[in-house]
Amino acid sequence: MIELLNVTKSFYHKPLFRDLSVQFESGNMSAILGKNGAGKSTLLRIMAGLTAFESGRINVCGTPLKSNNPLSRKAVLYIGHAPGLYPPLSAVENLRIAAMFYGKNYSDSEILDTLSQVGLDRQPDDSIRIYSQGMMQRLKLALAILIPWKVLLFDEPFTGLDEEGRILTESLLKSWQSEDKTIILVVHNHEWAMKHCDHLLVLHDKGIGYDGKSSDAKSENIAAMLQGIA
Amino acid sequence: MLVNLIKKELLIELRSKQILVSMAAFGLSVVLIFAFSFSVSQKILETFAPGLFWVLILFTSVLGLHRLFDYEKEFDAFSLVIGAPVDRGTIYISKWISGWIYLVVAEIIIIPLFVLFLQLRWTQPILPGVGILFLGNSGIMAIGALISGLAMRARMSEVLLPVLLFPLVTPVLIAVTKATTAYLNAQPFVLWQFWVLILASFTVIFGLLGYLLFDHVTEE
Amino acid sequence: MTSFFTNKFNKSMLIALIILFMVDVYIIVTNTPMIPQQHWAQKIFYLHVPVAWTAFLSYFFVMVFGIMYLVKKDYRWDRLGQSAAEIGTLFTALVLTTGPIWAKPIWGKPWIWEPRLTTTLILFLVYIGYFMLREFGGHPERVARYAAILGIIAFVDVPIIFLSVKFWTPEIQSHPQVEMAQQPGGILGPFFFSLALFTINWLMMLRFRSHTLNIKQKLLSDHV
Repeated sequence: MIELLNVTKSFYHKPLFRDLSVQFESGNMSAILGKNGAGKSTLLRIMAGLTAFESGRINVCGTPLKSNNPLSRKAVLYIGHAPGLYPPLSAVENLRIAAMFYGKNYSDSEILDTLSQVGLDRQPDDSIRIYSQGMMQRLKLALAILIPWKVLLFDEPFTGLDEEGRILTESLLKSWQSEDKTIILVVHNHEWAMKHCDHLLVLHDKGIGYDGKSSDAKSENIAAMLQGIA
Repeated sequence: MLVNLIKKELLIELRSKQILVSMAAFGLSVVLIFAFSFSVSQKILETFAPGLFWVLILFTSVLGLHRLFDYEKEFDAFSLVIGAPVDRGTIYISKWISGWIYLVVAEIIIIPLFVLFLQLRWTQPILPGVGILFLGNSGIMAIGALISGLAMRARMSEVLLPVLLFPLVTPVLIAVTKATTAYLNAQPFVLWQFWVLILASFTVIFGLLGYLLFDHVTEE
Repeated sequence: MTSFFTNKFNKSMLIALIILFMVDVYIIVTNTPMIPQQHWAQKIFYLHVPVAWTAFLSYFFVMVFGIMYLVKKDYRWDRLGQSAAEIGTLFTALVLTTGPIWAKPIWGKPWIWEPRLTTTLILFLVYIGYFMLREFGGHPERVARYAAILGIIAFVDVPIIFLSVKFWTPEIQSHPQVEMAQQPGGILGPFFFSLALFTINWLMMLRFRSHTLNIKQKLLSDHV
């Protein structure tokens, strides 16, 4: 569970959003929607403790998120646009190091098992610099499998994936959803979000355009907000 | 965690060899330039040598410092580190220590050739020299790792880093040059212990400041 | 969003400062004792030292405002820090100008590696980097944090720089404070008058600059 209270963030002194208060419940898969530049990715990075914000508070599972309190970040895993891994290292090394940051030690065979689960077992020892975008995306899934998290912040999980990868991602998301974890995605396809997510947050006009159950949302209203008509 | 973070730095360097190769190659070419540009008597050269050496080391360390956060930025791996439950001050310490190790390795290559090409005599016992070297390195890297973190995301960071670093690091440069000169001239320790004290306090003060302030450096 | 001098207090302070500075110059020229061997050159002492004091006061407050910003995360402190840094750098430039003017007749050459002067020069260089960081550091929210950090490390470095330069050239010992004790009476009064005047002037400059920076910020954030 993650809770934002009156969060304000500016960029070049212009407010990106003002006094944002939202709650993301456990067991829910939420989607953040909004036009380009509405601050979706920034909001995700703020919740991960990567980006500073001007005012407000964020509680992660009851603990206030503080830059000087490492434990407040323990429950959260952020997976961004960029791979977020070290280009000179192999997939196995990267995953081992990433898990180590979260206090987990895995043997090579455990990591290899996970890699084959996401369909990346062919080149486990090559530098990840040669990976395509789809392969990177699968590597991020392996990261999410290996690292123990309660809140997953995932920026555009479907970019660059083939059909098989897409199905894999969806099934993994579904299985985590049933484990009473909090999943927050930034997605562009609002129809997908309305179909698969429990909760929608639409960022609109420096604030919240819609915040509620996806089943209660009207597709036309959301679409209008995303196109800037409303 | 600190040990793991340093292992990570060294593993990346082992794979890419980017920092060490650039530091060593740069250091060696400057030694060569020095050897050609100083056609002065041996006595004068020997008075200049400690200063020359530390200027060389400072320039060499700037090359390493530029690269210190390179792989954190390239694929945004920094998000993973600072998003993880890792004390951000410890990240600074790990950068400091790994930078220090790179500098020592580069010096192991540079120093013999510096002595050989400039035909310097080195008759003093090795150990105090190593001590001065280690202290000088840690002073440079204590402030260097912090400045490198500040310059990491800036435009023109290749200019910003030396412009910020050089004036701030002057006490280290003065102290370490004085200490090296005194050591090579076999002066008793009491005469130059002041400089060791300056080096040690600089290292401790900026190490602590870096540890405290790095929380504020890491976030975007 | 009003001009700084619409405020009556600020306006009267400006007028008072202009008059008092003219009085200050008059006192320095006519009412202070001539120092043997130094003649007119010594008169710059009444400006050089208060200017240097103002510079270091500014840089000290850059550190204080920096700490305040990191604790409070309120941009007001950042703008105060920037104001203090600008004033400090202006006065540091003045120190580096008046120093050599004074040094030439006394030491025979315009520049010697006197610890105070050298520390000032090094700080001036650090602050060139500081303003470069403000310019090239990226978005202002991050720059505010980085500038605060740099202001803190710069001032913490001052005593270490001073000590190392002092012992680097131990033969250079003559700086104002040492001489002052040996100088004839009648100096202290005008000196402290000048010092007080410069300090009040500093306070007004700081208020003026942070006022204009506040307005600039307001214009930037309103104009979307």
